[in-house]
Amino acid sequence: MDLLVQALSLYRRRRYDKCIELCSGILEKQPLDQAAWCLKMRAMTQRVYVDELDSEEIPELDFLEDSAVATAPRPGTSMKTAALPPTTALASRPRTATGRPISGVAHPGTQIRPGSALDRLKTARPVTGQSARTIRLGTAAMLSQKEGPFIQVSRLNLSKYSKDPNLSKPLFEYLFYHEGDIRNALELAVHATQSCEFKDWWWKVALSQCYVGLNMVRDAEQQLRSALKQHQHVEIFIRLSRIYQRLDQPLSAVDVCKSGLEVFPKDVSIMTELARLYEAVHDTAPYIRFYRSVVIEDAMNSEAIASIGMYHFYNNQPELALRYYRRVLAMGAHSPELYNNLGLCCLYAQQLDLIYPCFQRALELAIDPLVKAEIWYNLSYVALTAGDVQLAVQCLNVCLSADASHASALNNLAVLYHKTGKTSLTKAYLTSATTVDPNLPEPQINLEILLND
Amino acid sequence: MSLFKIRELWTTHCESEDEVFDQNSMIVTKLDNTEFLVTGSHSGVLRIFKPFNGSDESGFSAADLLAEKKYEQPILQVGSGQLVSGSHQLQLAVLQPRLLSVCNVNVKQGISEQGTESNVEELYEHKLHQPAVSFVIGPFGGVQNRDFICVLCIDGTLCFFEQESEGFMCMLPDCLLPGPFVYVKEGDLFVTSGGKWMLESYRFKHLSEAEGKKRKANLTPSWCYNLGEYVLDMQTVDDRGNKETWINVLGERNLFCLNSKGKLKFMKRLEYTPVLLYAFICNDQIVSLVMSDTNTLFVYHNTTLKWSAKLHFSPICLRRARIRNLEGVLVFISEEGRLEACYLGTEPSLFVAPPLTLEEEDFAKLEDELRKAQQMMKNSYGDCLKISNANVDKELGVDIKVASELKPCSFQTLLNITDDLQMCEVTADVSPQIPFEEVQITTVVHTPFTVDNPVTFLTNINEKSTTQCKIYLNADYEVPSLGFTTVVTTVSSVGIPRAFVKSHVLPVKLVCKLDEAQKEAEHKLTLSVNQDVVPLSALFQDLINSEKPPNTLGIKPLTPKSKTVTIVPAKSTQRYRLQADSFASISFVLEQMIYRLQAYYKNKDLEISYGVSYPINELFSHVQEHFEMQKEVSTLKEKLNQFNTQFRLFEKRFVEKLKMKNLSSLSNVEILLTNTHYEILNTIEMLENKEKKLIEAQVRLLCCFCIFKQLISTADIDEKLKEMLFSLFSGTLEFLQHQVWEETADTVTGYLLKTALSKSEKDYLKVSQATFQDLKDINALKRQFTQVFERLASRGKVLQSGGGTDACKEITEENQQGEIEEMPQMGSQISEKHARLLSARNRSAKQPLTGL
Repeated sequence: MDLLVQALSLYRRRRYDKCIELCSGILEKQPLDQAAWCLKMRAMTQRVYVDELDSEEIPELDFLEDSAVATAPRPGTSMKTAALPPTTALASRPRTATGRPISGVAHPGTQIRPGSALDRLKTARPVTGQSARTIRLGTAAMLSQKEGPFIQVSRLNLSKYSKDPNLSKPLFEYLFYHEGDIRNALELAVHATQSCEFKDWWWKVALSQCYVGLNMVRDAEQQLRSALKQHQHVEIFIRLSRIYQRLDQPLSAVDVCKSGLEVFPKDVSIMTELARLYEAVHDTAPYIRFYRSVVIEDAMNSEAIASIGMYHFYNNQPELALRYYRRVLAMGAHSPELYNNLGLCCLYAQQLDLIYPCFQRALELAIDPLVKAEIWYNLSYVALTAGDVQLAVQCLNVCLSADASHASALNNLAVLYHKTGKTSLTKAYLTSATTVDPNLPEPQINLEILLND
Repeated sequence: MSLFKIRELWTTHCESEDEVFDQNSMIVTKLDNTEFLVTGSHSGVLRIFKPFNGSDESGFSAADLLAEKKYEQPILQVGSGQLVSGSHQLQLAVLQPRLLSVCNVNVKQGISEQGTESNVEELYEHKLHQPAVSFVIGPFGGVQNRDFICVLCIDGTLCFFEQESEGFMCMLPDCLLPGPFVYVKEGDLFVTSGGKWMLESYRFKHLSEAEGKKRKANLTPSWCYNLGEYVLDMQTVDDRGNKETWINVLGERNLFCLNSKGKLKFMKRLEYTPVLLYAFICNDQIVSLVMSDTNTLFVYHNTTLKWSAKLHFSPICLRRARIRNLEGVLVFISEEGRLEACYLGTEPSLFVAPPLTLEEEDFAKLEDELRKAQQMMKNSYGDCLKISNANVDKELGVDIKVASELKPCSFQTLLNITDDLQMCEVTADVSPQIPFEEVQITTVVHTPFTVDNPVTFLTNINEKSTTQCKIYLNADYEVPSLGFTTVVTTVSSVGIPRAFVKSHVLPVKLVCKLDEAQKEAEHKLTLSVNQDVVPLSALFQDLINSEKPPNTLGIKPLTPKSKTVTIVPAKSTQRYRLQADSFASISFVLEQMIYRLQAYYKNKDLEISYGVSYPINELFSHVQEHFEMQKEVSTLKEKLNQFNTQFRLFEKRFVEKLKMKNLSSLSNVEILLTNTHYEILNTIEMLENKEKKLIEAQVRLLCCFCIFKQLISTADIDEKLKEMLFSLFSGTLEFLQHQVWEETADTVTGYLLKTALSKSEKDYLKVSQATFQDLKDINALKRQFTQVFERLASRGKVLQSGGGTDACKEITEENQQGEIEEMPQMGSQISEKHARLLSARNRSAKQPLTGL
């Protein structure tokens, strides 16, 4: 069998390592075999490929950047100062340290660490548009090559390759995903889009990817707008919506997604995007509507199921929430957060026999100290409902030992101590709670009440 | 993730070990009215199966394998069609790298099951000039009842074979890597995919016209569709109801469906990595079966997900077959040759979580354990509340010694004088009685002193250990006080944090030397005592060495800017006079005087009083100086801020101009930039000078504070009022740098006048209306100060008769002896740790030298 045919078959069967080996063999004999070179490039890219739409962390607007339209946006037009819903049970949903409501579902943009951009500057984490993941991928790819890099990027004649329609796109993906070299990828894309006379939408999307990586969001928006005029593709709509999210313009993002839905009615990806957007601006009704449409279109979408479950939970329908979460469990999800949610649903739905088994499993599965802290915090609620104050105090103490900056736990501990008459302890805990999280209203109000007594 | 599992109906496994199959290695075909499964592996084995051949038992039986043939070369693809002229039967086509062979399968039914005989009969073969990749079979050019074959070679050549006869060859333009390709009957099209990540469609007619013309063939596709991703699989579906043919394309990220004119019907973004695709029409809807890399089969009706089920192995190829009268059985083959006919089971296989590894609990025992643990916690908690700081001091046993003998200073200082400069060694001995996890000893000195080793951090100490640091003069400022403090923070072995503070006095020789006494001086202070006047040689034994003790004493501070202070004891009255040209210089001498007098009359009642009115004018002059300096600095800072903003604006403008790529417009901005830069540099220089002067003024102000504190501490006034007055004059250099003292003083004096020093009850009521304003006029403050001291003086006279000697003594003791201050009790261990951390952070912020 011809070696190249075999390599092609290996590539199709996703045996990338063997395919790379075979291609290297071919290239040793014939260093100028473009087909083998291209296939090796593809295989190396595929091996490290991660869909950046699914893994993208939307970085907070750089404080040095001036692309933001308004520094003090009106309520409802920004994800930061989103209008809070009226005081219902839904409004009192707990939020993460970054202000996002906790849904139990991790999706792009939820892995942001707490703190402002300035705070994060002080950590080792780079504050650039390029997410840390892509940088890590680049370094991981470099490690996998024993005999030096496959392609010396600095020696590439990018303008030459940009003219070859067979090689340019794989080369771009190789540079972008495998090497993590956005600058050279951008140069290649610029040459390529010129050589095809700006007629290929793919290059415009590629350019926008590079611009986003280089934090030139406005240029990326232009490219995507132009690509959208030429060609309609689900990915372009989603990318454009992400751009507007990055610019903190949720309304524009919603517009883009809605126009996308007109072209691709009932598209799950776009509807999920819309639901997340509405969730970010705390608009409950459309958010639950879109998640419901997602479930009708794709009944296996665990994000949608879990989100609907959470909605029912905070809407005082724990039995319904329980059903949704059990569905997720039946589908094979097996995570501490899920068991924690199931336990809480059981508690509020009066299925008392199942509470402790659920939490036991959650604790057994939890590895992350922050998750552990949250589970113990919830367990303290269970203890309180059972009337066991002693146990509640101990749960909260364990919670604090896992996460010493858990402001709500400090506050609750203070309240419990206040009930047992230890005023000075109460005061101390409340002050610690306010110092840990100055934005939490409860400890401040409690402290005021205490001081006025 | 899925609720359901795909159930197997019939399964077999190819026998040899290292056979490999690919996506074209299996077909389901009707060779003989019933459907057969034909597989061909890369090892060259062709097999023909007929599931449930004869036997109705479940599973595979030997009779199910009808024929097996071994080829020398690997089999790349198998296909079937009417490939023999004049025959309506279907024949098999087998593609090997350089050979395309067509064969017939003959099945002779025997009487019994074992008697069935089948063999594969080779009919004809075509040699290929290029290594082949794949082929398609179809009625090209609209022929009836005949099928032709088109083979795609690795370099993009298409070879056409019209049954037994060889047809033409042509090249696809710009083909680097061949991808999947299909033949679309409607429109007589070949749709190819390749390295360009596009679908290109060529008419059969155009291809035949381009025959023979090699590379330069000007073949243009009849339509193109830019997919933008590599194509994994492609399939055509005939929709007989709508008389349309759909082309289903599985890309690496999306699923597309196009009509034969290249128009998109739908696309779906896949949230998983797809592996294979099979599409068919059912009830006018396109059903696509997509397998993910996690072995889950997704069934889509157009774009709606209808079903998903998990398969227990990873297949590489999927076909639909009719097996044992069962329509639509899914036939999977895996890479290693596992061949299975399956159906979608409807019985959900619920996920069962692995059991918890928990032992059977003995509740009584557990309860006992819990009680013990709770008792333990309670005890330890009680202990931690009981232990006060005093105990920690004893347990730690910190002994701080200030060496009375000075050594020549070995450090580089900011002072110009070097020869006379000395340093004082401070030794801290730690002899712990219980083990401590962490002990941190911080020595805090005030300007102009510097300590070489401000923080010592000890971990896990059990035995005696000693740390040492050296204190020396480091800047040319007045010396406010000779006191310094040592802060000790500890974490005991059980994790209880504690802290205490000790204060000490440095030897006087560190900062001054003897000088000629001066007769006249600008500033004078007079102290009266109720005991006999002590000769100065007795008081300042360490300073005076000469045989003939002088009557008056001149003390010259080492810092060049300070002035000599002269102490003159009165001959007849019980008084001392301190005089100097600089009011600030008196500060530490006064402190020493009081300290030494008290030490001298340790056992007797000593009453020191300050007869004449307080030296308010000196204070005012220093306050005025400080206030003005501060104003100047803040205006300079404002100016700098403005320039900076301006500079940033210009920078932004510069960047904008850069983007315009028109270099001529840059020069103007550049001039602006350089000018502003110079302005900024100038302002910074001025600011630096002013700030230096401000610090000088601040230190002088601090000296005044010290003097006033000493004077007030000797005065006979109410203890509470004394506290308040102390707070008025409290402050360190860092405090002054961050707050405008005059503003606080304004508020404090205002408060004092309305409460403690109020004339009548009426003023008391006004307290609540006190508001905080920016101070603009220093004279108002001065007036308030004058009032405070006037009222204080009158109050003092009233109280004189009461005689507050005890109070006086108490205060002086507090100032001079090492008093242990207790830190505020914190709630629990955790919050204590927090508070400690926070306070430590604050400390490190205030004291840049204590690197924590």
